[in-house]
Amino acid sequence: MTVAVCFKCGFEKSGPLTQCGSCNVTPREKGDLALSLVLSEHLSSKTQLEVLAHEIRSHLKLKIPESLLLQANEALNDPQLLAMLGADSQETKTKSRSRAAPTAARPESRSSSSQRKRALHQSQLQKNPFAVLGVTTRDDRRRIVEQAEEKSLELDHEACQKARSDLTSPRMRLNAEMSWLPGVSPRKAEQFVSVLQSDPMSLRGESGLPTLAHLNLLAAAFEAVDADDSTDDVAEFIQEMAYLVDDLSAEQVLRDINEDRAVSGFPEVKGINQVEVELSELKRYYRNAIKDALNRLSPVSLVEAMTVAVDQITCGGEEHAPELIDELVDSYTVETQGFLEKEAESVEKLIQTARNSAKSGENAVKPIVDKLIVVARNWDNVAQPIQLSAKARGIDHDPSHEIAYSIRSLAIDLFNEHDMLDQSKRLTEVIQELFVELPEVVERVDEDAGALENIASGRQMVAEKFESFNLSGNNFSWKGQRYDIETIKHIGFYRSVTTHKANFVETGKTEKAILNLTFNNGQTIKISFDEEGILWNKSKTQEIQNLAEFYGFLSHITFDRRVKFYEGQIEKNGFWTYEDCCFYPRKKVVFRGKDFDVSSSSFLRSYGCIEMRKKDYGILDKIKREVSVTKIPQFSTVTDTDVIFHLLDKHMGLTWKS
Amino acid sequence: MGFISKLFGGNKEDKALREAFEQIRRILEDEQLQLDMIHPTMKEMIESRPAYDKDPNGTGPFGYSETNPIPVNGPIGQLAYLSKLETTKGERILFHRIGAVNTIDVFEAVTFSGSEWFILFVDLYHPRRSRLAPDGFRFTQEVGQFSGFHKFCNDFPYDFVEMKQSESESGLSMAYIAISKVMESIQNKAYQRPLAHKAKLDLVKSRLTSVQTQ
Repeated sequence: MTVAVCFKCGFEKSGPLTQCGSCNVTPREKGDLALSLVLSEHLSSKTQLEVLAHEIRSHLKLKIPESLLLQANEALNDPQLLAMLGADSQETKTKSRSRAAPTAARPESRSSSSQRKRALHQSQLQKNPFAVLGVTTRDDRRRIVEQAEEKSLELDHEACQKARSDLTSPRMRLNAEMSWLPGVSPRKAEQFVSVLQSDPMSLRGESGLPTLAHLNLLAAAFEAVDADDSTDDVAEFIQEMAYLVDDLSAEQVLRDINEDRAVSGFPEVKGINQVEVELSELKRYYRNAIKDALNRLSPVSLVEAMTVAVDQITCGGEEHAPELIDELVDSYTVETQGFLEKEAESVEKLIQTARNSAKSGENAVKPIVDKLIVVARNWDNVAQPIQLSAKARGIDHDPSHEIAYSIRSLAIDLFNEHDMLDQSKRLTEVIQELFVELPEVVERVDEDAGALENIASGRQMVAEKFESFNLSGNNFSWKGQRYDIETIKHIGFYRSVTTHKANFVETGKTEKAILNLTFNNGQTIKISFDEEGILWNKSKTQEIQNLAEFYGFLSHITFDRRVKFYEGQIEKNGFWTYEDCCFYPRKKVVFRGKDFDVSSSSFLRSYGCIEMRKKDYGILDKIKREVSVTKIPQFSTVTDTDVIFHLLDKHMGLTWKS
Repeated sequence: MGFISKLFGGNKEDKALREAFEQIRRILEDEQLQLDMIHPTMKEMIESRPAYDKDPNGTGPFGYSETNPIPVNGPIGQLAYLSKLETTKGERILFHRIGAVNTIDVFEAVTFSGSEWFILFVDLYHPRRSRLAPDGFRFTQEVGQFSGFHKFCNDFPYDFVEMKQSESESGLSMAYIAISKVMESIQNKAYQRPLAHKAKLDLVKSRLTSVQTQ
């Protein structure tokens, strides 16, 4: 067989114009057919096919020479090929029922149901007046009356008379004719009724029948569907019906009926309107026949059959469904509304409970999230056909959106407000899995998931980097004790290098780093590394570098909170205090009762402190300062260095070149 | 055959030749003999089916669609019928059987020159062959010596010579056309399937319910 690549999914298949075994799509439009021919060994080499397959799978724009498409289009003008494609598409209409299911699985499920023999005696078709009286559509009035008399002897008299009346009254007759097997020869019709009685499911294998007759037979066969039928098979059967309903043609029905009437002597049906009215009634009957069949299944099977049917026929919500499927889904929506509303309420309650429990920590939230996931899954399971149908119709299924966004909102809050990364990720993953039919939700949640993943991997990297501090979530350990980063109030960091000399000759350098942390409860810890030892010096470059980076990390994640501490003072008092100074925004710094006006003072920055001087600081002031025993007006910047320089810039307009 | 021989009814050799030619002619044309040559059970079945030129319920173009196949009288009738066809341009065809869709046999055919390719659907379960030719064909005035096979040819039509030789035991080899008629095209590699034909082959092969191999 010719190697080809599916124009839709990019997977390899046998023959360019045949159904794809992977996505079950068959090319039908001329453009798709031409493209499919190009995507085959007929027009492309194996290497080219590999490249094209990759481009399709990666949703890239295909680079196809115009000349190849021209050749393909020319080939598609061949009349026999066109006729074959027409026949093939008819065939694939029935074959394409199981678009999403693996093709190998289809015949198995189909045969298991078809092979199980069952009898059917009371279907609508068997109750049709033609069947009751054993007359044909070509029998005339006299024959019908005779048969009614004869049948009255063995059957219910009333029923026979009603059948006679239905077939002889021109108005009622159309209904009987259209519910019967229009376009089928009397002999064949008799055979079909016999088969319907002994093996109704075998009628599904019939082909080449007029559409309406085919539908009437299948609708009757649907009455034989029971709880023992596999859901896949029922789903397939529904799709067969749906495609046929889409093929119904009032003109064709009118032609078939009038052909028989020409023989039977009944007046021909003049207008198509009557036929159309009857057809809409019949469509309702087909829908009800399917609904009744579905109701004979267990609730789980019912939902599954609906889901499979809608999923396959819409290619996972990507293509419009036939009219019958849309109508079935609408009925299903109405019937499941009560259940879905109840489940939605449960979801909302669980979301609220999770929010309320978040303050108690992750251990309290996890079981609620577990339960929420179960309920959401259950909800989604039932809502699945509705979601798929909505996607195929290009509309939103509002309840799904509401639930998805509520869960997303909880996921965001659990992370943003309570830093529960794991629970947030679980919820995000559940939304991605369950609400895949909601493109807008999927897009947003994909972003959330990406962000959470980045955070998680970032945290993992940080945890690995600061392994010596045993960093986990918001906690770190030092000397066997755990500390909560969230409660750090102030951070001070000091790093120095000491040059060692003996007899004025440098003998080496040692480095030292100290990290001081003050917590909200007043507790302080000091983490220090000093290369200078009592007996000998030891290199601690790595530890000191690590401590410096840990300081950077802590500063970064506690910055806002530490800024808030000083900003709160400004808001409350109009100034903030730091070291021995009071800082009045845009005005002055008060150092031990002495004012240093921002506009008339110089602020000299040196390592670890800032000295304040008057701008007209002269030689006399210098001498006075040298002999003075009072403290030089300056303040240390070792504690909360990053915050202090931020505040000096923001509130005092003081900046220094680095 | 010389003038004197003709005058006196010919010698023994001439008689044997005449009988052989007569036998060939009957294989090619005698529908009853064609039926007699097949298995009695199959013959019985074929004879029970209707004789007509075209299925009255057939749909689609005659001979080009599995729903409107050409009725013929058994497998030898298939060979005889298809060997009698020539295109409206006067070209006869080479053919082989690629399989069947249910009971309808599917043949691939190409003109002797390789200029046109066809897929034909033939129903062999009829007591006589159709008197109609599919669109684009007519019946040749030549003796319709067999020009194809009721078998699948792996390298159709380049393996015509080998396939003809393989028919030597079937008693039909005498009824085949002379190899010289197609040798030139075979040697010139003149047979290239057009794209549309390849696409049709793919489609029809995907629908075959029985595939024949040698």
